[in-house]
Amino acid sequence: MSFNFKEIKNEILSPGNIFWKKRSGDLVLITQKGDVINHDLIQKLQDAHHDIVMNDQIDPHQRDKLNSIYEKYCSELLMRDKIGWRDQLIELMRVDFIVNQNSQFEFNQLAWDFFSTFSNDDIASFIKKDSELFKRNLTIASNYTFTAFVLGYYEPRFLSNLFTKTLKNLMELGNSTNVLSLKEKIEYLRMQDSFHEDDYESMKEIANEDLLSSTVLFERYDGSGLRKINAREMTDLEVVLVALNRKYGFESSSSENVFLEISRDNFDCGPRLLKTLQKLLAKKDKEIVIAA
Amino acid sequence: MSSPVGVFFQDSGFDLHTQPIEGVNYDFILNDHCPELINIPRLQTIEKLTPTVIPFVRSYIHKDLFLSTKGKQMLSSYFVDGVDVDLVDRFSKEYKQIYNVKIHDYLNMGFFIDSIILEAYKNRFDIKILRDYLNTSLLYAFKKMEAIQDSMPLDLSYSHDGEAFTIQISISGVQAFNGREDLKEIFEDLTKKTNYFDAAYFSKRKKLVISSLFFNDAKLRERTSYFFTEIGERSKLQSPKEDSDIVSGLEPKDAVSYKPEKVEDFQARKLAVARKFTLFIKNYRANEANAIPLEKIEIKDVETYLEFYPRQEAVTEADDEVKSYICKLLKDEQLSNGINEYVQKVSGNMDTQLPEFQRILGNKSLQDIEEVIKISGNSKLDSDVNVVKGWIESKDKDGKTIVSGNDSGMSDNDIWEIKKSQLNVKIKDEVQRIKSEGKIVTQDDVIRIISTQLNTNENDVKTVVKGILEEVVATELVRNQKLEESFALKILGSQGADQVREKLESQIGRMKKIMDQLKRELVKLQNEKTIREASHPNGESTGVSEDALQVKAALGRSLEALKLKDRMIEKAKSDFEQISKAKDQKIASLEQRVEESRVEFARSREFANEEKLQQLEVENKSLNARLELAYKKVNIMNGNLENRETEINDRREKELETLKANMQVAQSVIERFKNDKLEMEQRFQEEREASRKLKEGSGSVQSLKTELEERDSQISSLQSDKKVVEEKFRALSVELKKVEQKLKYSTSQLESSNKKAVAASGQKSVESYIKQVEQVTSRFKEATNEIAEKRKELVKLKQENTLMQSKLAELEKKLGMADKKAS
Repeated sequence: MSFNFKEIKNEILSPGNIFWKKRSGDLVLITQKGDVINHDLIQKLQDAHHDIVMNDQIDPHQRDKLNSIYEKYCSELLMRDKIGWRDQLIELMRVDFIVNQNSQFEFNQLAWDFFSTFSNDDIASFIKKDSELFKRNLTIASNYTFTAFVLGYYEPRFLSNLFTKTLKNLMELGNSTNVLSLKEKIEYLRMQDSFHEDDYESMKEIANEDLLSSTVLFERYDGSGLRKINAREMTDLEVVLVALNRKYGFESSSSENVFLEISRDNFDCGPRLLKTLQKLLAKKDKEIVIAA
Repeated sequence: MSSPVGVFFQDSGFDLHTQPIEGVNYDFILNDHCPELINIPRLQTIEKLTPTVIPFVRSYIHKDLFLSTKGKQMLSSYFVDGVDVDLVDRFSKEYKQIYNVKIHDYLNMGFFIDSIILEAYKNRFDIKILRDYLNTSLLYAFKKMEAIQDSMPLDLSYSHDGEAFTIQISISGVQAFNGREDLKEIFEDLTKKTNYFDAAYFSKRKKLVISSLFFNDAKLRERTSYFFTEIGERSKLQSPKEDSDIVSGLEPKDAVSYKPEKVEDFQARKLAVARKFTLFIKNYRANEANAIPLEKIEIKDVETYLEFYPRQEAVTEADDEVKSYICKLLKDEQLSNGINEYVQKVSGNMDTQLPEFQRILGNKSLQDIEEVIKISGNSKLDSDVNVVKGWIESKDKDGKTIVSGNDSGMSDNDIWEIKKSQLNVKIKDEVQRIKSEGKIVTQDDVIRIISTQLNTNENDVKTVVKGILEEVVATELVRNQKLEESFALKILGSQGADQVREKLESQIGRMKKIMDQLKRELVKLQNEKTIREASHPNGESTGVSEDALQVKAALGRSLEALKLKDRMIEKAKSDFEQISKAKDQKIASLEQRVEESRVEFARSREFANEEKLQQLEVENKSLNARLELAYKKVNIMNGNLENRETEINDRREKELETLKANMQVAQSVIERFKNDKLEMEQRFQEEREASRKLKEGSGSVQSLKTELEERDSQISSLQSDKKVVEEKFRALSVELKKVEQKLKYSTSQLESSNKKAVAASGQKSVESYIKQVEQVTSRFKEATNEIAEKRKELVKLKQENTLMQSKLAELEKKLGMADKKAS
C-alpha cells in the first residue's frame, strides 16, 4: 500500500513495515514496524520519486477513537461520568489487546499518544543513546502507566507524570557507562530472583544517587534489594514496577503486552494483585453505560 | 491481674509484672502503675490517670472491650497478631471483598465518601458516624498529602465482615508524624465514636496509615480505643492473605435504595402518642364535673386537658398533627376503637409482632412504663403511690450477680436497663419453647412470662403489654404516611377495599337466599293453612290460628332480621364509601406529590442544563478570546515577515549600489592609470629625444647642468607618482576583496532567509526570492568578471610600470655617463 510521507512525518516509531519498492519491483525493508523511522532516507527516496509502501499498519481509526475517548475522559470533571469513560476505555483496550492480541508496539504507541509530554529533542537524544534501550524502556513505561490506570489511579496529570518520569529515569540509567555494558548489566540484574551484596555494586555503577534512593527498580519482593523493601512494604504500583522490570528485557518478542500477560496468569506481581488486575480487565457482565 | 484486662493479656501470652524488674524491657505499662518508669508507652484502660504519666499514654482502651468477645478479638489483632497486621485485611476475613480506591484530589471527595457510605448502608452500619469520621479523617489526610511535594494519591481501602466496618487510609511520603499532637483538635472527633482507631507511622517507608473499625452493635458504640504506633519496618513473613479479594472502588456496585427508617419510627410514635393522650383525656373527662360536650371539643381544649397530664415533658412530643388527631379520636368512637379491635386480633397470634414488641420494650425507660400504667386508668391519677415499684424492687439473684454488688450506686434506671435485657432474653427463650410445642404465642403468654419474671402485679403487666402492643400495631400501620390516611386505609379496611366489597356482596347474596327461603316458607305455610281450612272448615281453627300465630311471629322475626340485615348493608355501604373516599384522597395526594416531584425534576433539569450552558458559554468565550489572540499573533508575525523581507531587499539594493559606485571608482582609477601611462610614455619619448639631442650635440655645460637638474626633478616626481599609484592599487585591491566578501555574505544570508521564509510562509515568496537571488547572482558574476578584467589591466600596468622603472634606471645611468662625459 503506497502512502504519503506526510502521514508519518510526526511519528517517531514506524506505525507499520515500510518498504522501498525498487524499479525492478523488489521490495526492500527500510523500517520495521515499531522501529525508529529513518526520515532522511525516506525523504531522499521520495524526492527521487521512488515508490515507498507500508503494510501491517496500525489501524488509525481505532487509534483516533481511543484518543478521542481519552480526551473526553480527561476533560470530564464529574467522577461518575469519568468512571463511565474509564470503563469504556478499558473495555476497548480489553478487546484490542486481550481478545485481538495486538502487539506491544501498539500498546506503546497508545501510551505515547495518551501520556507523553516529551519533546522531539528528548526523543532524538533517547534514540541517539540507543534505540533498543529506548524501546525496552518505553515498553516498561507504557505497561506501567496503563496498569496504574486500570488499578484506579485516575488523574490524567498523575498518569502523564508517571509515564514521563519512569521513561526518563530508565533512560538516565548508566549515563556514565557505555551502552553495551549497561545493557549487559541491566539484563544481569533483571534475571536475579534475589539480590546479594555483590549485585549492589552493579546497581551503583549504572544509577545515580538520587535514583538509587527513590526507585524500586533494584528491589525484590523478599526484601533483598538495595533499599531492603519487601513486598508488604511496597505500594501496589511499586510491586507492579518490580514485576515489569523483571519481565521485559531487550528481546521484544519474548513477552506480549502486559494486559495479555495478566490475563494469561503470566505476570508475577503476587497472586492477590494479579487476581485484582484480572478482575478489572475481565469482561463486565453489565453493559457499559456510556456517559453522555 | 485478675481483672478482665489482666486476664486478657495473660491469655494473650504476655508476662505481667506488678513491680518493675531490672534488665527487663517492657513493651508498655498499664495505666498509672510504676510512675517512676518514663518513656515507655502507656496503655490506659481507666478514666482517670496520674497527671505525671499522661504524656506517655499512647493508647486508650475502654475497659468493657475486654469483656466482649468481639472486643477481645479486635484487640488481639493488635496485640497478638502483630502491630503491622493489616486491619482491613483481617476484618474482611471469610466474608466480603476489600474495596480499594485511590484519591488524587479533594475535589471529588464526596463521590468516594458516598460510595463507602452506600456499602455501609447496604449492610446496616451506622452511616452517620461513618460519614462524620470519613469527612474529618479525609480532610486531615488531604492536608497532610498536599503538604508533600510530588505526592502519591491517597490509598483508601475498606471492608466489613457484617459486624465490623473497617477503613484504612494510607498516605505516602509523610516525613514525620507526632502522634496525638499532630491530630490536634480533630483527635476528639476521630476517636470518640470509633471502636478502634490506630495511627501507625512506618518510619522506613515514610508512610502514615490510619486504620479504624466500627462495630455494628449499638451496645458497643461507646467502647472506643485508640493506638499510636511507630513501626520501623514490616515483617515480610506475614504475607497478606491471598484468599481475600481486592476490588477497585471504581467498579459499579449493586443498586441500593434508601429508606428513611427514623421517620417511620417517628410517625408510628406519633400515632402511639396520640392514642396515649386520648386515653388520658377520656379518663380525665370521666371524672370531670362539667365536661365540654364531645362535639364541641377543639384543639385548644385538647391543649388545656394536656396541661393536667402527669408527665409534662411527654406533652412536648404532641405537635399540631398529633393534637388535631387527638381531637378526631375523641369525637370518633369508631376510629378510636379501630386500634383496640386490631390489637385484639393481633394479641391472639403474636408470632409476627414479637421482634417489634421486643424492640419497643427495649427502648422503654422506666418513666415510660410508669406513664403507661398511670394513664391506663387502673390506678388513680393523683395517687402518689409508686405503682412501678414492683418493676424494679423484685431484684432476683441474677440481677445481683450482674451488677456485682455495686447496686448501691446504681439508679433505678440502671436496674431497669439490666432487667429489661433479661426480660427480652427470657421472652425469646419462652417463645421458642412455646413454638416448639406447636402452639401460637398469644398476648397472655407474654403477660405471663413478664409477670413471672418480674414477680409483679399481673394487671399492671397487662396494661403495659397492651400499651406496647398498641405501639407495635401503630408501627405496623403507619409507614411514613399521614396519620389519617393510613389509619383510614388500614383500620377501617383492614382487608382492603375489594375484599370488603366482596364480603358485602356475599352478605347481600346470603340475605337474599334467606329472604327467598322465608318467602318459600311463607307460601308453604299459606298452602297448608288453606288445605287445613278446607279439610276442617269449622273445627280446629284454634290449631290453625296457633299455627298462623307461629308463622306470624316467625314472619315478624324474619322481617326484623331483614331490617337488621338492611341496616348492616347500609353500614357496610357507608364504610365502603368512606374507604373509597379515603382511597381517592390518597390517590389524589399521591398524584399531587408526583406532580410536584415532576415539576421539581423538570426544574432541576432545566437548572442543570442552564448551568452546563453557562459553563459552555464561558468556555466558548475563553476559546474565542484565545482564537483572537492567535489571529493577532499570526498578523503580527506576517507583518514582521514582510518588514524583514523589505528590509533585506533594501539592504541588497544599497549594497549593490555601493558595489557599483566602487566599480566606477575603480574604473576611473584605472582610467587615470591609463592617462598616467600615456603621459609617462610621452615623457619617455621626450626624454629619448632629449637624450638623442644630448648624444647628437652635447651642448654647453651650463645647459647640461640645467638639463640635469630638470631630469632630477622629473625623476623624483615620477618616483612619487609611482608610489602614489602603488598605494592606490593596494587600497583598490583591499576594497575589492571587501566587496567580494560582502557579496558572499549577503547571498548566503539571502539563501538562509529564503529557507526561513519558505518554512514560515509557504511557496509564494519563495519564487520571488529565487528570482531576486538569481538577479543578484548574475549581477555579482558581472561584477566579478569586470573585476577580473580590471585586475588583468592592473597587471599589465604593473608590468609597464616596472618596464618604465628599468628604463628610468637606464636613463639615469646614461645621465650619469653623460655627466662624466660632460665633466
